[in-house]
Amino acid sequence: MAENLSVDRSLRDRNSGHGVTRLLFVGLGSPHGDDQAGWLVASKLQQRLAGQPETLACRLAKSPSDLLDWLDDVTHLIVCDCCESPTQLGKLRLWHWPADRFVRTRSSSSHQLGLPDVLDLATNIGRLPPRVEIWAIGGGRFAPETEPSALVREACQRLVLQLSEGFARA
Amino acid sequence: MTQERLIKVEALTRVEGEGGLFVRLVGDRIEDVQLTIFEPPRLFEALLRGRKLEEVPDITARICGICPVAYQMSSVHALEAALGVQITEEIRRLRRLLYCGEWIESHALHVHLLHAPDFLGYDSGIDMAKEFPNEVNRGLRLKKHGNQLLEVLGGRAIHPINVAVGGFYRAPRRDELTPLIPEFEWGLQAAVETTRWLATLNFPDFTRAYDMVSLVHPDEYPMNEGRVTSTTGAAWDVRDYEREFHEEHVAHSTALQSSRGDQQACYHLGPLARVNLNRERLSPTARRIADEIGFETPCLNPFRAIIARGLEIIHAYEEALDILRTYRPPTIARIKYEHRAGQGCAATEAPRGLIYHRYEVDDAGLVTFAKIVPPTSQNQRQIEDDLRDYLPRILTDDEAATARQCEKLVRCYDPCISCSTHFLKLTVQRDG
Repeated sequence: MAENLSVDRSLRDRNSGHGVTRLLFVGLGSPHGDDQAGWLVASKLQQRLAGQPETLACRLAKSPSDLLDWLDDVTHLIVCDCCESPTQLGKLRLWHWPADRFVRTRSSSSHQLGLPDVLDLATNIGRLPPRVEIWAIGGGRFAPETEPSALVREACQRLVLQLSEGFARA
Repeated sequence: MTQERLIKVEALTRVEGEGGLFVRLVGDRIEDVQLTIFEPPRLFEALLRGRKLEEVPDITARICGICPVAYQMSSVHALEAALGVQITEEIRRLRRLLYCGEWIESHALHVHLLHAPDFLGYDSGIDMAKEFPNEVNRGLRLKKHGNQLLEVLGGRAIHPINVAVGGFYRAPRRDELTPLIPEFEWGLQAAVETTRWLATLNFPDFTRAYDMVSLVHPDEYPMNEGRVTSTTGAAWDVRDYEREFHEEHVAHSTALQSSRGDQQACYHLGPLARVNLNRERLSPTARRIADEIGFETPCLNPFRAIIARGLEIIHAYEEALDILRTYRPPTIARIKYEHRAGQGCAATEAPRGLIYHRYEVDDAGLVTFAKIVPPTSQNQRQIEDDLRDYLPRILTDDEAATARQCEKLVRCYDPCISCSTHFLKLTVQRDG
């Protein structure tokens, strides 16, 4: 389930009504090393976007299936997650869903849906926003409860700036 | 020369965890059927030894992300038996409410996304959603209700952290629970529609003379208490569970297999067993819908377990609503106790069936022994036995099709393989 930071709590309350959220940013992650990348970007974006129109929302998720609870009225979804890629620490990569090819791996559990499955399911039940982007940040250290590496932190900051500028232009 | 054939499902899909299926045939004669469980052992029982008993509910919750409440409930009841703790009626009701949340989220997921695709000819719930978006959306919303209940009562939806030996660390305020009522009222009606829909599915004509086992409580549909009861008429106090039910290691499974009695017979746990043994204690709406759809009990067709799950979703919503509407925070959220040496056991009803825990603790409050028997490990032998009986009816030259039919039968039990592989029995043989 979602692990919302305190800064996000107000957003959850604010967006509990209908027809408010249009652009949703979801950071996927866990508290373990570089896997915090998605959460870091979401929380930094949230801070930068404070005072922006209510059509932007940032959320933190542990599981891709959390998305399914938040898609109503969203027209543009951005998901950010860490990708295990020790040789490309801090590298950013963007996919446009569903146009770009996305490598799928078989999950060992069908009680936990991966991101591609969740997006497919959202498509099939008619809830996928028309515009979906997926950002990946290359990570390599995932020891429990450790800090993210410096390269990943820098990459998070770069992505926050890039996204904020994009939102400002939109 | 008679040809040997192998039917393999390397990795079962739409079940929790890692397992496969192996069938060896000589001609059309079935030589061997194995539900192969190769998920690595998870060592939970050994992990608990030496830990404070207060840590047990949080550690055992980690056995499963789908049914953590079952592990928490079984562990706290067993430890309370060891400590001589008597909980209040208020705590008891809150625990039932928590279990309702788990049944709702687990059953809703299984019914809509994992098992219904089998009956409608889809490879997955995602594929099924193209043609049945309303049903899948409904299932997701029901599952969310269960998770919400776990969040409010347990502190979080996955691996709750609010369950304590003696009660709860914190009882929810009334204003935290009452906002759930409108959604749960919708959920009750949705559960009724779900069950009516499930009753329209086409079920294979396959019945077996099952020995079904569940808890039976004289006053309520069983969750946390009751006598271990078989459809044969036999019944046992939970304290006698280990005299009747035995575990053994087989080479093809990292989960212990269970059997019953001197005959070492397999037995069937889960919603179908519960409904068969407790139909009259289902909630009024669940009973009414069971009558309306003509669900006859005892039902001995394992494929119809999906309907039993639907009836239990209705029951869980109706009972949850009753508790939510009348809820007053308990005067005492957690009963105090003193550490003392002792042992205690308990059985509760996980979504997949009866689960048994036994602990021994010392006078410092440390666990010295733990035994956990999950429902899936108990159902393993029954699943293999079912397949031996079912295979001759479905066997064709198309081995992929045969394998799919086998998987469909396995999924009737909603196996949670990750739960079942918590043990490691290590035998060291030294020669000389």
